Amino acid sequence: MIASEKSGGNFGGASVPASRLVSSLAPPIDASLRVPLLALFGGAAFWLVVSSVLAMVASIKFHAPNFLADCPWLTYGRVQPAADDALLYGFCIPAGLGVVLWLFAQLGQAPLRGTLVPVVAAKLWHLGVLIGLAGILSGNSTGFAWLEFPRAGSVVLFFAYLLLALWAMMNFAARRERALFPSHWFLVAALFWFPWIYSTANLFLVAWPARGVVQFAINLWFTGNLLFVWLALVGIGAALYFLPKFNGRPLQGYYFALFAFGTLVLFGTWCGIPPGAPLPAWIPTLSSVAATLTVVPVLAIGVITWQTLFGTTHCEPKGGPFCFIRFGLASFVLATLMLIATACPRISRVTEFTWFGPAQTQLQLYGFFAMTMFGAIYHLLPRVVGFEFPFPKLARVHFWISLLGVVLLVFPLAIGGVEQGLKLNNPDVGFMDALKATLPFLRVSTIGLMLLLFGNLLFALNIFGLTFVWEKALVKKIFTAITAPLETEGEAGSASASLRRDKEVRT
Amino acid sequence: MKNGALIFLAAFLALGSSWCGFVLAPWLQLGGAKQTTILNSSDVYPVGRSGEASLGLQAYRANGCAACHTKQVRQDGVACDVILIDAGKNGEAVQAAAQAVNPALPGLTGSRQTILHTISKTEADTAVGKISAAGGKAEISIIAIGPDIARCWGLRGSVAEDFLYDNPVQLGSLRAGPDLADEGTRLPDINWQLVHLYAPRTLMEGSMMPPYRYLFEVRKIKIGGKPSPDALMLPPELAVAGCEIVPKPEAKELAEYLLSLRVDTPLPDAPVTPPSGSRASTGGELAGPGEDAMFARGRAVYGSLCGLCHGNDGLGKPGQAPPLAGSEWVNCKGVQRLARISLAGINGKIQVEGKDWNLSMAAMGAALSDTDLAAVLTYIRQSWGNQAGAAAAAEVQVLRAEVGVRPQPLTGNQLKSVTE
Repeated sequence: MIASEKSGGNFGGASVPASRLVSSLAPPIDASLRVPLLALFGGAAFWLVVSSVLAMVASIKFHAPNFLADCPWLTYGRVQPAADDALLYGFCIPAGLGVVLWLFAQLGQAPLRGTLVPVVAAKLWHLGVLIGLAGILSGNSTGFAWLEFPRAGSVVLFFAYLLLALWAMMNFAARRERALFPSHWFLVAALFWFPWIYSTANLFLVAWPARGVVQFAINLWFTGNLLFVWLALVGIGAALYFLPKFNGRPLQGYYFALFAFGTLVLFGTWCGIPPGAPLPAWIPTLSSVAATLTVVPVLAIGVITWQTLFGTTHCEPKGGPFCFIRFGLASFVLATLMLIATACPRISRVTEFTWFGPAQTQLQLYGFFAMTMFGAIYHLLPRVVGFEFPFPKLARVHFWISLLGVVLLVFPLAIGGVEQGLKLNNPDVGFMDALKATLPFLRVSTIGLMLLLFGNLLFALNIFGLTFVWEKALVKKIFTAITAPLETEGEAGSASASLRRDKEVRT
Repeated sequence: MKNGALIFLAAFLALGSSWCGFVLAPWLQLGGAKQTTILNSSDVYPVGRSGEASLGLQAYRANGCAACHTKQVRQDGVACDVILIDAGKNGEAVQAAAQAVNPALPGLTGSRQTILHTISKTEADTAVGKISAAGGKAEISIIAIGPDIARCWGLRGSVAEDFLYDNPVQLGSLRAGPDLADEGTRLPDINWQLVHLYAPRTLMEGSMMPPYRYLFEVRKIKIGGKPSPDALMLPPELAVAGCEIVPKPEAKELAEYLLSLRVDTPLPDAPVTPPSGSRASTGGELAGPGEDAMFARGRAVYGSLCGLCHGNDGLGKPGQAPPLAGSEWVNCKGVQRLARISLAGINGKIQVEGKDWNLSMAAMGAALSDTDLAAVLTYIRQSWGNQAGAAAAAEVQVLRAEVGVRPQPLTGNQLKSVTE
């Protein structure tokens, strides 16, 4: 039902048929996506590394406040939001959009048309991220959480997104396989979700700022919808495609998926306003109720995953991409449970304003979304480009390092946050003592960030390596095409040139 | 595709409903918000910030202060204190009534006295009724409760009105540093703020805050030239020979902004009784029976400035500020030590009543006139069972001249070397 192709998701060369190693022979659907996806994922890999480096710099400052303190561009208050935004806008969103483009083409069996536009849009998106990050680091941040990019950057991002979403939707409308898959619901909803929330937030916060604490409410609404709903829609939408594919059996529980989707958009969109916010009481109360009800879609997604993975015994799914996506789903469940916990007024009393919040966000962004995207990219990119990754073994190393990194980043911060919250709520404990109690946890989280930086370098190495291999082959192909007529005129000569070209490409 | 349209519609409606709920509705409810009237007063709140402080908000934004600091005080609820203002003619009957409502009460001191602490409104009403029946005069004081309040981070919880004139509104979401909502009351000295920005660890031992040296410039002092009036007074290990450290405009604006942050105004939706005589309290301060004007004035100053951390009962707050009641630093012969602490601030380890404290108290000299300082010293030295001599404005004037305009915070050892 889902997949025409039943091959597993191994990183090794075995999964891609040898005939497809020559790029010109890849099916037209994959070939049409090649350049847009390389543009999206290449930039994403670059910003991922940038984000890790910035996050490391920010984290080190807690142990050595004097570290790079004399450079205003690298002060903690600028580096930290820059690291967060580089991860979200630099990596998560373009990677998500790339996966959406591929999934639509794959599920609908229709090649992407007019590939120049998505390529330009991808470049434009990464330009927007560059402008935005430079804005934050030079002190021109807007001051709103997850919306720090100055106006010029946000406008570029917005139009780049519109172009990419438009092309994805056109591909969706032109699909040859007319049946809708559960992934479709999630991804189509995600495509229109972002422009709505991003334009609302930028218009009412930056262009014509609302008055007073209304800004705070809009900022929280935007953050909740982006970090929870958008990421969940894209991540879960992708996972619902890959899970049955890697597992070799159709998705179990179609109606569960429909139910999960409905409740996710219905309750998720109200999440994110902490119970103690200085807003009229009905707003945080409503948000808390909705957050508690979010347990419903989480359970439904858990049931689908369980049934698809463990419903039968005959299948033993293997392979790196599968590990990434399985880890991503587990993180999603945990991150959402953490979110639900912080919406409970009693728990929020302890965890609000502590490191528990950043721990939840990192688990959502990194443990769930980025890991799911890694899995998807490792699976789809070799097929699209027509070459195997240059260092397939490093992908497996990347998995284990990232897993360890996420665990060492998130758990110490969460535990340290609870400890910090308990100490802050006890006025007999001095404030400095409460802060110093978090330091050992922050130290461990710095190690976690270091591992993530290393893992991300491995990811970037594979992406750039693959791009390089493809470009090299392309140059060779062009070179042969130019030089070919001089050597031969007849059919036999042409055939031998083609043979030689194939040989060269393979080596 | 028949399900497709339905599913798309469902998602559209879900997002549309939350947009109406969390964007449109708050806008309609609060977007047109205007100033509120302060409780029991005709004054309005909030008033806009000064130009320099408004610019400081932009420095706060540009340097990402909100990454580590929140600006919202949380409050768990309200409770009442019953305060005896006047025992009237029939002192014994009032004492009996007071001890009937609070058996732990040692006796009447003859001046304002807290009879009952953190009780409910009904209990407080009953107690006030009993004391009035005995011929005494008592009043109820509303206090906010919660850990943030106990940490001296504000008199009450933050409410929507507090942020009316902020743009951008940056409430923060992480306390890797203290809450700043009430910074202007807690640390009202601009020199303290500037030195803290330049080198946080000199004032806060073990602070994780990065130094903001780039907000300051190092200027060579010309031979024979006068030093800049803005130059920082730094401890010797940070001073640069032949140079002075001068805050750039952003640093001064940021410090002004921090000083403008206060959460001490009682509002209809956040009732609280301000400490008597504070900026926000109503009416003039009247001397109680058996008090002179100086003492009453001292109580007013104490309530608005010192009481937040040292407590209106003078018992201090664990982890925040040492007790003043019975303290050996208060009950000494002269006011030399106590006045110097107020004028210059104090930093580091000090022993009070046999207990070790690690303090950082800002200099209050700039915030108080000689008369006010003398008054508050007199109040501290003669309240809560302290029985030391009064302080005179002339005495304070001399000490202020000795300490200098922008003094370096004292350490416990320096203080010991000062004669009593």
